[in-house]
Amino acid sequence: MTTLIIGAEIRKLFRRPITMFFLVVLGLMALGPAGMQALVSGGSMETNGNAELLSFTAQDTMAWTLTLRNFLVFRLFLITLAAMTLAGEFRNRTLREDLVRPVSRDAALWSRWIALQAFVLAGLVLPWLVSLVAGVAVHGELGDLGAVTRNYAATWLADMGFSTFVMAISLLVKSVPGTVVGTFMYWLLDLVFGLFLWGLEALKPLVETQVAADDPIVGLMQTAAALRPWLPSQAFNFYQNVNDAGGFVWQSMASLAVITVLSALVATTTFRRLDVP
Amino acid sequence: MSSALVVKGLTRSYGSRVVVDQLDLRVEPGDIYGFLGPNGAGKTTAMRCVLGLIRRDAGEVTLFGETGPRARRHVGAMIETPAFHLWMTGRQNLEHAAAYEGLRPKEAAPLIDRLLARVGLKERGKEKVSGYSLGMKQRLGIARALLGSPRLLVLDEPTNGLDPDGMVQMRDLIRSLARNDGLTVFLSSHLLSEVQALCTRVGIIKEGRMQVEGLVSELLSGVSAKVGPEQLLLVTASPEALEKALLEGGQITAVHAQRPGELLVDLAEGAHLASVMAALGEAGALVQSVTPVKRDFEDVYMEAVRS
Ligand SMILES: Nc1ncnc2c1ncn2[C@@H]1O[C@H](COP(=O)(O)OP(=O)(O)OP(=O)(O)O)[C@@H](O)[C@H]1O
Ligand SMILES: [Mg+2]
Repeated sequence: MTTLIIGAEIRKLFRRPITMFFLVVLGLMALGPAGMQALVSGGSMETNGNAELLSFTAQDTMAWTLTLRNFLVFRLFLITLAAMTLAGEFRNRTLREDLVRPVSRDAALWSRWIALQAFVLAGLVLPWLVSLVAGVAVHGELGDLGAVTRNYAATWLADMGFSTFVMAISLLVKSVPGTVVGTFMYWLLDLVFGLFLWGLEALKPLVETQVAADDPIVGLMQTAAALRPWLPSQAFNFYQNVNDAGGFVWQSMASLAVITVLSALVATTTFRRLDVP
Repeated sequence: MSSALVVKGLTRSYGSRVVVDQLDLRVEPGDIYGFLGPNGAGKTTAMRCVLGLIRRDAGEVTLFGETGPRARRHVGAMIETPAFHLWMTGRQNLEHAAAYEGLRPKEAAPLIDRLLARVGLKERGKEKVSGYSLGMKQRLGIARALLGSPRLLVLDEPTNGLDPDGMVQMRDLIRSLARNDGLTVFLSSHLLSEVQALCTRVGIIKEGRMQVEGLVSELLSGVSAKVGPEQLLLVTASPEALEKALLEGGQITAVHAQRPGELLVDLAEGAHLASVMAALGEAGALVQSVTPVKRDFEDVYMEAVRS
């Protein structure tokens, strides 16, 4: 029964014209880095006075593509679809039509979540594949496929957490524009707070020359430095910190796990209690 | 056999406003139950509670003796205007609903064919719902409500917004579902003639409370005593002579002001159409027409709602 519902939700999501549009954009976008690299490759770049020959592998193409994808583009798509699937369906009453059926609220909610994860996966595999093919075609060399794929995998985890987070916001505000604004507000708050923490951290060496080592202000600055990797923005961007050797900032990953679980709890309880018009 | 629907002490408030107040009602298998009440009386709210769409502050809802989400497998519902995924076809929308009903695509396909044919959408099922008229959506909504082979249909104003032809079709469909398929129906409506023609039982609510509940026939027979005497509408060229003859003959008790040449009269106890005609014949009064003014469902409704 639940598998039937999950199947229905996935089909519904992928039948949306906007979903297809997003995937086409992602596919085209994945061609960009290969093209750019083809243009500049063979040229040289001045670094510290030394001319360095620019050469790339498919690994670079895939890495650039991932950065491009993750820089706003995909997150914006994800926010839009999550908002449409939850707040949107609440508003246009199609949620009601599912809930008059003999299903639990949890099944209706989590099958929607799984459908979103299918989109996340499609939105990762597509750029991965397109940039791999384009990269090999342009550069003829593969590079370290495993390392860059690890970054894609880390992105998957981050997107999973992010979509859960947006889902919770969407259920709390119950409006599509509200979800977008709400997510943006969180992002702004996170940014300001992050800057504040960063400022404290940056001032530390300066302050340390002025006050005693056991001064409370030094402790505060240390806390700020320790806190920063825990910020949601760091958690959602933790794929950036996964290096070629597979190392990562554990705090950000732990933070991601905490945010995901909390969002899931908020979403579940909100949805169970939701009055559906 | 357990009742199709039992609602006991159902209460729901929005903020400080009690919208459904200690509501009791019972729909028996085979009933076509008409749920009536003025705008804002709480009909839709009560139906949403029955379907578990909104929380209830107090009370119990039992569907064929069961409670909880699984009990809804007995129920097909259409609340207000049915909503669809506009980017999918009518058929795809039904396939989506079928999955929620636990039907595999293979089981669902022939059922969907049958239902589309039944609501007259056989040809249009392959089109996107965004291109459907209101009437088509309403019919698709009924098809969707029937997907799980329900025993009870919950319909909130099923003919709302339909043209006269559409209304008649919808009414015929509901009647056929009840008579031929043995479905129990719980429907809300503002159209009293529709309710009178269709329903076996009615409940009339006002401000969230049940005012009158019973068989339509019972309520109709009970009404004249409460509302007043039977009336006749007479059309004549000589109203004065006619009035005099009937009053003196003890056939009528009162005459109400009417348009010139018309008399609306209250019949006296024991008088009826034939006795009035006889009295008129004796008096030699000329009457162009006599029409009995029937007490109907509107009176039952008004009485319940105005009290
Ligand atoms: N979500 C809501 N928030 C606040 N008040 C609401 C809400 N939904 C309904 N109400 C109020 O509850 C009352 C009952 O509404 P309901 O829709 O149940 O009435 P109804 O009997 O179906 O009326 P109608 O015949 O117009 O459809 C109305 O006064 C309405 O304003
Ligand atoms: Mg209503």
